[in-house]
Amino acid sequence: MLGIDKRLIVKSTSQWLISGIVAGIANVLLSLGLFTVLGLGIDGLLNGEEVVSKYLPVLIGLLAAKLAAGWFFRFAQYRASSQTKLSVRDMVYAHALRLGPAVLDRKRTGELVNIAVDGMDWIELFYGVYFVQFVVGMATPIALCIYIGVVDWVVGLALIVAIPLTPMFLKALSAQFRKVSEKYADVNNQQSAAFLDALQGMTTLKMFNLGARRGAEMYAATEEQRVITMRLLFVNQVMILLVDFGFALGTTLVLTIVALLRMDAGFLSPGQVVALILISAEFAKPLSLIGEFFFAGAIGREFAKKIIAFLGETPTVGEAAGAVAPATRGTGALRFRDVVFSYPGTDKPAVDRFSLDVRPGETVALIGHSGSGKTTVANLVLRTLAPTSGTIEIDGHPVEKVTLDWVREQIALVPQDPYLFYGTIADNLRLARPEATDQELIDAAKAANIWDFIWASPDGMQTLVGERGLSLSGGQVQRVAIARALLKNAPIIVLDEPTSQIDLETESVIHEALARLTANRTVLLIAHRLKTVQTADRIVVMAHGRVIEQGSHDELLARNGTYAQMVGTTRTMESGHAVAGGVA
Amino acid sequence: MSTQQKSHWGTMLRLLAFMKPLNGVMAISVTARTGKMWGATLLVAVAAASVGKFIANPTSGELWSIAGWLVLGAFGLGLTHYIEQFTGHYVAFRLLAMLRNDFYKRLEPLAPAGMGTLRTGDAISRVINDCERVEPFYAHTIAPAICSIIVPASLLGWLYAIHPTFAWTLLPFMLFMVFVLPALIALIGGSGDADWRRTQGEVNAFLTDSFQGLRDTLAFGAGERRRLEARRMGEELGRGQEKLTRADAFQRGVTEFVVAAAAVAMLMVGQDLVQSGAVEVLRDLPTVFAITVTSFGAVIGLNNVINDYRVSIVCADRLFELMDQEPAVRDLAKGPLGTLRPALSFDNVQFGYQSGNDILRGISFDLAPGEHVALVGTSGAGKSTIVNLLLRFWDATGGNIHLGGRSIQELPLEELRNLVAVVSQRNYVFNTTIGDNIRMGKPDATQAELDQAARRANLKTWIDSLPDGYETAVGEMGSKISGGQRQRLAIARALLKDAPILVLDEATSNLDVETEREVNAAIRELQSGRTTLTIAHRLSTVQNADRILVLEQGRVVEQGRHAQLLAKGGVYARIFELQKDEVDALLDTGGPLPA
Repeated sequence: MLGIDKRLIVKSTSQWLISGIVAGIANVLLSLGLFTVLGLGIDGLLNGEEVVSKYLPVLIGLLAAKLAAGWFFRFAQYRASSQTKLSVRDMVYAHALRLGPAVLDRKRTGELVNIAVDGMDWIELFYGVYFVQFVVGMATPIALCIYIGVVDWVVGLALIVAIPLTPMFLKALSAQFRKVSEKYADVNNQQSAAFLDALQGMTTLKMFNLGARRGAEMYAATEEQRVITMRLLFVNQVMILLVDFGFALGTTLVLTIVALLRMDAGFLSPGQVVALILISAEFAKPLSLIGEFFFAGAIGREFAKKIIAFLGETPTVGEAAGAVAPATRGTGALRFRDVVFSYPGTDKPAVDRFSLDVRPGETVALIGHSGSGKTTVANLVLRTLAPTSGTIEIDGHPVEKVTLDWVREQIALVPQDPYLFYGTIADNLRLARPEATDQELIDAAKAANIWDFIWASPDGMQTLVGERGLSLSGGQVQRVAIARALLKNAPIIVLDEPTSQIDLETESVIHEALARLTANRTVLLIAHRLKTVQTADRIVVMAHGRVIEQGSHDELLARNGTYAQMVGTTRTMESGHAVAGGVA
Repeated sequence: MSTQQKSHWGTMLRLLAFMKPLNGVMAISVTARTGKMWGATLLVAVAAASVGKFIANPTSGELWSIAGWLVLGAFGLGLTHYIEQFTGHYVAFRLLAMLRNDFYKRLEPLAPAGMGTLRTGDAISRVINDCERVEPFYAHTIAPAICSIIVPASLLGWLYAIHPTFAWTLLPFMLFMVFVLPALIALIGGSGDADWRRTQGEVNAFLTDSFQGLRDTLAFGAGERRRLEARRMGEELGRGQEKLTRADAFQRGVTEFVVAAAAVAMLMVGQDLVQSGAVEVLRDLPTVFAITVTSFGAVIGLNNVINDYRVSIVCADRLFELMDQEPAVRDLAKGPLGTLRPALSFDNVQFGYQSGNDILRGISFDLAPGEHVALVGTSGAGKSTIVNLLLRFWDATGGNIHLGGRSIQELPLEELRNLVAVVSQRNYVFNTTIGDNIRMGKPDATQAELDQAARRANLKTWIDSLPDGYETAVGEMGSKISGGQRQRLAIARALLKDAPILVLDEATSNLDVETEREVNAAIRELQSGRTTLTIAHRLSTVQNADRILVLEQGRVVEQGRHAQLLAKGGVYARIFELQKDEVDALLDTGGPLPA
């Protein structure tokens, strides 16, 4: 019923959880003490005693203790919550880093953000609050029965019946709750989704003059669902009536009648009976205590399940035990030997017996259709994917024998869609080298042809960029990414060439920046432009994960294969006759 | 501060007015809630009072009567709880539907200009959440607030009937709980809540950024650094939570204390009254104790209610702000038009989404009926803005747009939009069936018409191959269909709409070369006999146009046929030069690669 997974609880959390439980139970016991004194007061007054002066010290002590226990109960819950949040979030992010971007595509990243950001509030509530309330709630009836049994064993015995009432009713309620809330959540999600759909497509709807009509349809569907759901609730919610009724009967009624009979038989004083009756009201409290966070509990459990499943995923790329970081910075030699890679769940390899030797300082252009395996090759070099078989060597070191950090230090990546983090331009550049001086940042920006833009911005290097900052044009983002790579100063560059979405003016500016970046470095170029391809030392034409042609521009032309055919097509185009992929 | 306070009152009053249709149900809900709280007190009070009664009359008849009353009380408790829950759900359900419906109805005429920041799915999700957060205002704020007055007041009345001194003794404790404690909490918590929310927002944004930029983080070996930074921010958030923690812990401790202290006070007062002979021990004291210890139920947790209230008001404010915008265009023209010639003219049209930042700076061009004109230019040149103006999603700030010789401002919006069909880059596909999506072009289309549109859009064979045919669900945002299918679906829609003017806004720009070729076949089918305006940045799409207009910086800088423009060696020629050597495209024309 609890569904608490220990893997998500760290030691500091569990200490606070236990403290919270102790304080919660102490609170219940203190209430019992108070009611007992009230009963003693009644008996004393019946005998004409001065009860107030007699019990005042005890009462003051009780009040102080209640203040403290109540305070601590809440305090411990808060601490447990924030500890949970902190540690679980950390676990999720650390694991995401281990799994890497090749496993976490865009869709999965969306889910992950949902779990680690939105879900965390529920996890926090579930582990920090619900759990404590639940344990206290379950322990309360037992504590009450023991206490009552001490006062009078017959009444205590009669109330043992009440102990299973809490879990029983809770189970009934939760089953009912689940049914109703699932139905309700279902309907609500559906409607929420329809609403989202209509809002997102509103422009399209308006183009077809269907906006108003869609709204009316949505409302009608909602009404229909509401009637059905209300009918369901009408019957289902009767459970609430039964639980309340049964609880009151099982506790207050039983206790009152039995206690009155015991008083009649001379075993209990009137004051004691009154005290017991007041105590009987405490039986119902756990239900509301747990019920208060029931919803949070259910949702939190769902999120916890997702997180556990995520943490259970094994990274595809691991560091071998005893992996070492070679002391020297690599020269940039890169070698593939019969590398094969298949994505899990597919039988056709994405990269098939791929062999390639790249000399230090050489620029190799990979060309091929989308799906030909060039991006996978890049991922293999970056070790966000590990080959199924074959070896990749950097500077003569097989990559699986050296640390991941070392591999990634050897390579600077310039992707087609670089990601800029929310923060200043300086922050984004320093991603590559945190200790870079301001002058180094400026030098890199200059070399990447982005300095003029930065200099012209009012905040200069401190200009905020990224999702919530200034939105830069595609060409500007590219150049920031180039500056970043320059700062990293790695011997190998993996470059996914920007495409024609870039504005006309920036085209040449970017090429100049790229030329500076790639000079004297080993470059693995995922090319999209014939012009760039021609400048490469070697061109590798890929299809279906394999190398079908390779050589320099001139060699390939002489071979008269696929590449030569492509170049031929452009030549024809230049004369203005045929057009690639054009409308006939 | 005071203006903000005032607007909060305004928002609350507006919400209350909005919720009028639910007042009846709400009254039942409040009554039931009051009954439930009374029931809880009554049950214990009756039981406690029975001690005196049974001592006075120790018979089995008395015992049965006590049992009878308790059974009745227990049933009343259950019944009122049931009614409260049921009506509560009813209100929540109805209210959410009303809110969404109202919001939609108000926003629809404003779109897309009034959508403002709502361009992304995220922003829209936030609005949807806002709607859901307004709901607790009624369901979880009003009823507890009313009950927190009614229940303690009536219980004080009961105590007053037993002896006025009891009521006067409990009153300060009650007042403390209802008024003083929330104020104290606010004082201790201070800006803690707002601070915490803000920091929380920052942490969340940082994390979202970290996950989305995972590749770049890893590529630069910054993973560990970023993880530590996230942890540090989280710890800071925890420290920022300190004020809140203390406020909440304080509330809990004080509440426990006050409830117990009230009982102790009753014992003290009770002793005096017993000694002066004003009350009888067994007849009155047990009842008084029972009332005292159960009477706080209605006021405990009022704080959380205040919090709910605040969130609701803030969310409602945001929604109202969106709903209250002035529409960007007014639909003043009336009445049916005759048939218009499908000719278009833009005459010195100027426009900017923000003043001082003009996107179009005096654009002029004409489309004769049946002509095919293409607009090209780099991104940001204002190509798509032209569609927005033509459909009157916005109005031009200067110049004129004419359709069939009449200013588009003189045409009723509905008619204007009926005359133009648009196939764009990301056609929105609704999460329904393929059939429903195509039928958007003509809601009352017959099956034969649907079939014909699907066939002409090259979709028929695919649809027939699906087990559910037209009834196949397309998934959220068309997730279950490919890009090419999505475009062809949009084309089928436009075919069904059968409008005389067609706008192709980057209709094939997200497709790979091979798919583009397939879709182009369907586009040709759609174009025939229609006045067509093609907007594209990929030149391969536009070379067969009767005329090509080159847009730069909000103006038409060149126009003519493909060959003429190439020969001219201007902007068009430069763009062409840039695009002609795209490797992917060349690989395709180079014929299939050997496997």
